[in-house]
Amino acid sequence: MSYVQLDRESLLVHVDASASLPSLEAALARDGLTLDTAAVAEQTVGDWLAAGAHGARSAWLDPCDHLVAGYVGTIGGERVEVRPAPRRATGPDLFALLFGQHGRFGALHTVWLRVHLAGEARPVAAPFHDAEGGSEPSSEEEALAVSISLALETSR
Amino acid sequence: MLLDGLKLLASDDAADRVAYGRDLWPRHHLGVRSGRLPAGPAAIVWPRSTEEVAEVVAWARKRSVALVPFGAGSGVCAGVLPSSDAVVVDLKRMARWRRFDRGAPLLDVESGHMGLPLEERLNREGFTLGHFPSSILCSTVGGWVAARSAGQASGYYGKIEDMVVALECVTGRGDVVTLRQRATGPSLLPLVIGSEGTLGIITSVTLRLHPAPAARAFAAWSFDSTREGWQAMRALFQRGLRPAIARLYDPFDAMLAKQGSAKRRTHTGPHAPGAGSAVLRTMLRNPAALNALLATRSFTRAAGGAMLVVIFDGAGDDAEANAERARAIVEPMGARYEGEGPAQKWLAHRYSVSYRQAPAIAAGLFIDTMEVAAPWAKLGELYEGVLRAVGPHAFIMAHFSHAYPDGCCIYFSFAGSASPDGGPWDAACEQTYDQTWRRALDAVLAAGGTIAHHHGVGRSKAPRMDRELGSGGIAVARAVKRAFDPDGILNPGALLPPEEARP
Repeated sequence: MSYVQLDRESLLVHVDASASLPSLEAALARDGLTLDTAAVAEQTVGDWLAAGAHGARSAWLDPCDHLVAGYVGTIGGERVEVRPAPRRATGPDLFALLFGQHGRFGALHTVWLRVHLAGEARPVAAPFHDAEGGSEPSSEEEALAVSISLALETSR
Repeated sequence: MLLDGLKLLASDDAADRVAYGRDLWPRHHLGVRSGRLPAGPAAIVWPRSTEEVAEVVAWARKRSVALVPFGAGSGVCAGVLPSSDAVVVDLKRMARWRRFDRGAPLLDVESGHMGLPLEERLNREGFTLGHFPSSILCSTVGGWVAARSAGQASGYYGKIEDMVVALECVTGRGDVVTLRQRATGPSLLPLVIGSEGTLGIITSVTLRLHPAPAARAFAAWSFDSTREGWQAMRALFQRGLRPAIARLYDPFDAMLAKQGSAKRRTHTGPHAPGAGSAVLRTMLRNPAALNALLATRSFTRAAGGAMLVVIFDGAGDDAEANAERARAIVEPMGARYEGEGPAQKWLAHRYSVSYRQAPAIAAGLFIDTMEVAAPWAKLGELYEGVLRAVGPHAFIMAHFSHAYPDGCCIYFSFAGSASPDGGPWDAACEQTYDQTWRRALDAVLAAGGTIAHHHGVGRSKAPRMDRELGSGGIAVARAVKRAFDPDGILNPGALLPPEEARP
């Protein structure tokens, strides 16, 4: 497989959502890099992120590091392009409508992922246990999600 | 009275309305200096509970009254600028600890809690939040979350969005909703973080805590150029080090930092701009010459070069070991070790810098800051592009205070004066100020950077959001707004550009 772009200076890779996750890891390994995920089952990058990136390292372990830096996708029929940046404070993070949402609000086309130098030890913050981190959305969260779906439909 | 029907602590007193009429956007200061005060809201309410916030929202929705949530008013982008018929909702009477779980460890705290007392109380319990914005004396937990704030120790603890486990808010529909983070999704929490009071009024936040650091290690290095300095920062973060503090100053900013941030005044009388101010005003009428002088190699040498200060937090010997690892990484890159002193000095004056602005404004100048970010590969273009764009209009310097493995924030400070051909002083000053910002943001966007790293958008950057998110992103953001706040009563005018009338 080939990347859309590899930014080695920023340790970011721009890939198509249809890229195979194991193929991406194999290609990165040839460049001395890794996504460092435990999940390399055959699936696309887009499906992996839409399902919540199972196998990726918990963000609580290294608050400074994020999995996704930018993306291009369709949400509610609108094309959304968010160029890569380590962090931004420009309103709601619309990636929440794609990540872990199983395609409910839209789909990913390409994504900028953080890659790591192969063999480098990764930082570990103080332990944190989020007891409800695996919980299902509450009824009030689900009601909001329904409202968002309706609002996206009516904006078309 | 407007507030008839609401049984809450409230005021429509003229003094209160002035006090709640704006935040700390420097453009407001210029207006006040020339005698123009914002209209101020119609009234202010101080709810004491989530139920009372919900009551206010239901009341406002019924009457189509705009509500502007208010923490401590320290925002710098006009996130708070209520219209004269709006009601400000000050949350500072909601400051209780709801749940403190030492085991997790986490804290559910009401959103009106002020920053520094929160950290101090956590320290007494043996914990830290790890969030130290320079506004910590005059900002609240809810404000941090609403603006996607960053603290000085973001290198280890992350930004506020990395600390929020869950939050409770009252949406514009009047519903009380608890949104939570989930390891593998789905979560709507990232929509409310950074929403600047436009989606819901945040009433409590559950925050991840860390043990208070048992040890700290300090170090500083100087470099021949700012670029060499940021390459060293990049190496530290990409090699897996996480200094809580990592701040790189360009040569002029480094010179100021070495002097210490706290300016000691020898008199206590009212401030009157004197001869020094007059000189500064004259110098800043030709900022291009000043910027060119400071960009010379001879000035860089005289100033001692760019300077990187780092502080590692840790337990046991971790902090010292990490400082040694850092030394082994950066010194082969041309870094000159400057000892522990500059980092310790920075820590002693860490919150002083915010108080430099008022004397400059009083002296007839303008002064402001812009925090933008980009991947490392675009950082040079971002830095140089902004210097080129702003240089002819204002004196500009920079430091780099929030680094990540994939990129960095550049924090530009700029100061200017009235343009020579701009007419009356205050009007000319405002003209230069606006022009400086327009050019700076254009340069950021042209370089591929993001227009805000941690100050938010408010009304000052809202007109540029179409270039930040694109028309599609704006349409989605508007749909999210309609879902949370169908009547548009929450902080109208903030965050998104004005909507064009639909045909």
